Amino acid sequence: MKVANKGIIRKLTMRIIGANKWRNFFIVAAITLTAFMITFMFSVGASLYETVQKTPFLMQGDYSHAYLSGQSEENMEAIRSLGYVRYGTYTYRAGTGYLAGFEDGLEMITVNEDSWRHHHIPVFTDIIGSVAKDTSEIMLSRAHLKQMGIEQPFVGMEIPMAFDVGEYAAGTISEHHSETFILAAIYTESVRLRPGNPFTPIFVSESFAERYGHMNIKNMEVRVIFTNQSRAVEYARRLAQDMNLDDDSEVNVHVSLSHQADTGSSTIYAAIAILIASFMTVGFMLIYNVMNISITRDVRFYGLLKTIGTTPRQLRRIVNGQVLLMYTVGLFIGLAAAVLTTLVIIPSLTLVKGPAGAVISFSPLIYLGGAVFTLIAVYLGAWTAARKAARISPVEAAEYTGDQKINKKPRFSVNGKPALMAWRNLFRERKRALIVLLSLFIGSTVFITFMSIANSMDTEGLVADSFDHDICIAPEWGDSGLIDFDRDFIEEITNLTGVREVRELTFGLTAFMDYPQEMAEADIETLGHPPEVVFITGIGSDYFAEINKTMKDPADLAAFERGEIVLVDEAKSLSSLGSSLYDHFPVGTKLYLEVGDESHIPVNTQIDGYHNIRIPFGIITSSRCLRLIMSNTFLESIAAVSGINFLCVNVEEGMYEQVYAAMSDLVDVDILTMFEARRKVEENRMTLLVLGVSISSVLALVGLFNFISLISVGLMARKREFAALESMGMGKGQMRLMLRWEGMIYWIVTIAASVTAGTAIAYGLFRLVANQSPIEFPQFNYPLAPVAIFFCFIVLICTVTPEICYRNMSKRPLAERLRETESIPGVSRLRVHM
Amino acid sequence: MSVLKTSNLKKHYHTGAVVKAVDGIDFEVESGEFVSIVGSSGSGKSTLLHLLGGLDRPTDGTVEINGNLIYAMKDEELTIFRRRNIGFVFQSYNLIPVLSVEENILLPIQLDGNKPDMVFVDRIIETLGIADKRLSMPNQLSGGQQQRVAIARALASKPMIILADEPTGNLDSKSGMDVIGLLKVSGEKFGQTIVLITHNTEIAQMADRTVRIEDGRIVGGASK
Repeated sequence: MKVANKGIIRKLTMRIIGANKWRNFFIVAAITLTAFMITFMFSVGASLYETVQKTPFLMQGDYSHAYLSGQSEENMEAIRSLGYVRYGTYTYRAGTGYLAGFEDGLEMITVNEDSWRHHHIPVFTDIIGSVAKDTSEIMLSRAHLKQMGIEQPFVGMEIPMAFDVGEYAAGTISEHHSETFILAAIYTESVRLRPGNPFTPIFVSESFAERYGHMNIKNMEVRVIFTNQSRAVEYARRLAQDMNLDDDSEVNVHVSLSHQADTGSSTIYAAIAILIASFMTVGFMLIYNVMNISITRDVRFYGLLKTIGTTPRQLRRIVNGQVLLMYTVGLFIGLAAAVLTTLVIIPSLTLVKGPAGAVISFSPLIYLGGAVFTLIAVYLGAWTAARKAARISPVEAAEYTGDQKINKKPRFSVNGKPALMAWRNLFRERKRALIVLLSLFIGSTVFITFMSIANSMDTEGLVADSFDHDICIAPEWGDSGLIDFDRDFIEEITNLTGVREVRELTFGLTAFMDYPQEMAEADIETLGHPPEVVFITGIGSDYFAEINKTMKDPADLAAFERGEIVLVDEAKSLSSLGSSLYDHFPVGTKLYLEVGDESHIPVNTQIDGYHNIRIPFGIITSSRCLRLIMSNTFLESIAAVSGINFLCVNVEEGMYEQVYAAMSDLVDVDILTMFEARRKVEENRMTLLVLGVSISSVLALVGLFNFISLISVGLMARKREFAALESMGMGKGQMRLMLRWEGMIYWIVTIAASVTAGTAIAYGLFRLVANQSPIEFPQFNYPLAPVAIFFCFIVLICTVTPEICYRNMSKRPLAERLRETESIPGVSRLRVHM
Repeated sequence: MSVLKTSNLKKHYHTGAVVKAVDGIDFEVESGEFVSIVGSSGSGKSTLLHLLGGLDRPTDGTVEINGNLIYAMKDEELTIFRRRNIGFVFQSYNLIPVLSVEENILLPIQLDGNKPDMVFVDRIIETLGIADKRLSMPNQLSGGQQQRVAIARALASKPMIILADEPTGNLDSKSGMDVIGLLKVSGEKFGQTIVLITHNTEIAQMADRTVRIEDGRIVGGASK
């Protein structure tokens, strides 16, 4: 039979909540911190995931999983109807546009509502205007417009542009036109510079393409977004099979999806999972302790409720109701704090930053996850308390005096010694004490781990890995590759006061070769084609001579200059080819190369050694790729290169600032300096430190909350016992000493466990990170000073809390405290009107 | 020779109206005497006992124990004096739950930094009939047994005076009578002065003298 008792249960719940303000504070604080940190950790994880997933598309300015050559309308319908295809759209090459301020022409492609919505809106920001529909409408990025000298563009403004059409149309010849277009939409690209393609295409309407006869299958490109990005390669194969595509219509998967490099993200996800588990654990521990103490103190009240007919189920509802209400409050504050922290911290968090910046995720799943995981911790914490309340026997409750029941015979005699009494007192609430110690231990261990990792990070080594030189002047991408520096410019740099030496490099030269069969098969399997490209960095003889000094077996300079020998650029090759580099390309391997993107100049050479060219610049390819170091003299002699596109400069001591300033005046391109890199790496280390200190501080704070609540409530429950001790002559000094010992045992055990087991765990996690991370961790440096400060804080809290509690308690006269029967402060204030 | 003497002892509480819990009590107890103080609930007997034991400070008047004016002493001094000269037995036993029976009994002596006289302690334990419980924890004892431990604890440091506040309040009548009997026997055996508060006239009659108190004043039995 259903009884309408919700009202009275709610009333009881609310009254108990109203009567336990301190308990509520601790529980709401625990829930808030737990919800906040769990949600924030989810945010970091989700943002990292989205950054990894989205960055390649942001870089490209197009969100598509795969591309196909033109298809008939019938085929398009068939593609769209496939279960694993979410969207299938198409675009037409519409010609080449020549915008003012641009040296070369830009590709013009068509957009329609569908392609714009699915492929471009996800990767562009600050979009204003609408999709180009009219023949004279175009869509440009703010980067385009800035290059054109237009600082304040607006939708509807006139854009004069010359363009070539017809070169793609079958049987037509290119025609040159000039026209004034209307700006239909403006958008911001996430990344302006892309290798070989610095700007997005010019978007035009389909009616424009139609006017010039470009709306045909030859000019068409189909773009596909699959239902599951992680299965793009598999779906692309299925798509080719399902559509019976011939070789000319192969499905090309987006490069980022065909080659998933291990960016070390799995370690970060694992760390996030560990931290979430830690937060759940400490949150649960605090809630568990506080709720259990609360129920123990309110035993008489719950017993009374049971006596007058409250069922165990109703009692459980009363306890769970209290916790759920506090959960609602704590969750709300925690989630709000997580949103704010996410907005402030994630954009500057290095570990979630991609080349196009951090993608902040606000997926509802993050907040749902935060709420659910916090609820699990809260529910587990409240479960035993609710069960305890439901199981209270009315008779037992009536006889309850507040004295703890200790049945186990002591193992040692206390002899009236405050320290030994304190030790005995610590274990009167064994489970609660262990939980407090465990939560303090977790906080300390996480702190030691973060600090050790930050302290052991070889920032100097990281910088040195990227820089052989003080300053590098990076090449600029032109429409047909990297732009060579002007000879006069190189001279000017060389003649700057303070410049010690200038090394001239050629970077990014492409060669082709046949890779060993095993590698070819692996790439065919994953990419659909064998690897063929080799990247070459050309260096001067002076640089080679210096490298030679560091080599075990110095190479023959003359043979190097004749191109007979080459060096393998080890680190970059290794990251692309893995350890198979050493199996397939040992010293002495003979190579046949065809050098030059177009010229394919045949070169027979031999690997003579390995070296790392440390320059903070690189080209990413999806395919496996060997990187070689060759002589510039040789490359020039075979006309593979015509100039220098990379400069590395060393400066005289103390002249850095001056040289940097002079260079900045001379060049308009990126100047990459070791000093700046050092600053950035140091910034990253600081971010890790701040994040780590914050996370472990929150964990430690929850642990300390647990300690404070246990001690304060525990001492309150023992007040009559203290009065008895005082009555039999225990001085206040002795009493304080005993309580100080109680606190001291907590910090001694916490510190001892943290220094031993905590350090062992920290070392294990450090090794894990050190093995996975691209950053060098030469040795485990124990963060002595920060850990000492952290421990001092724990000592302070553990010492001061019992002292303050006792001081407050002993303010009342001894006779009054002795007279006081065991009352339940919270319950005594209850006024329940049934 | 009086071991305990009060003079115009007053304890007033100012909680809105003035409550005169003890209102000008003059009272003496001879060495080795067993005195019971009786009175109705709220008559001020417990407050008087607390004042006698140095647990509370009087509004006015003095308490002299063995020639020492205890309220002229500073807190720490008074605590030490109490530890050495006064033993307490409470209605709710007030045993320390984390200490065994023996440890509870020895605690006041050890708090004073002294080595317990184990022969004496053993005699007390034997007398009170708790020899087989000395290693038990308070929680494992019945109410009567717990109160015997409390008495043993009060006797163990050989105090001049034992102050017992309703020691039978939580016990059934048989256990109550047993406990008071033991208290009396122990007091006589070990030469200690006992002041017992009770509202049970049957128990009060077991004392050498009964003092009656009403509304904070002695209404009978102030002197022998």
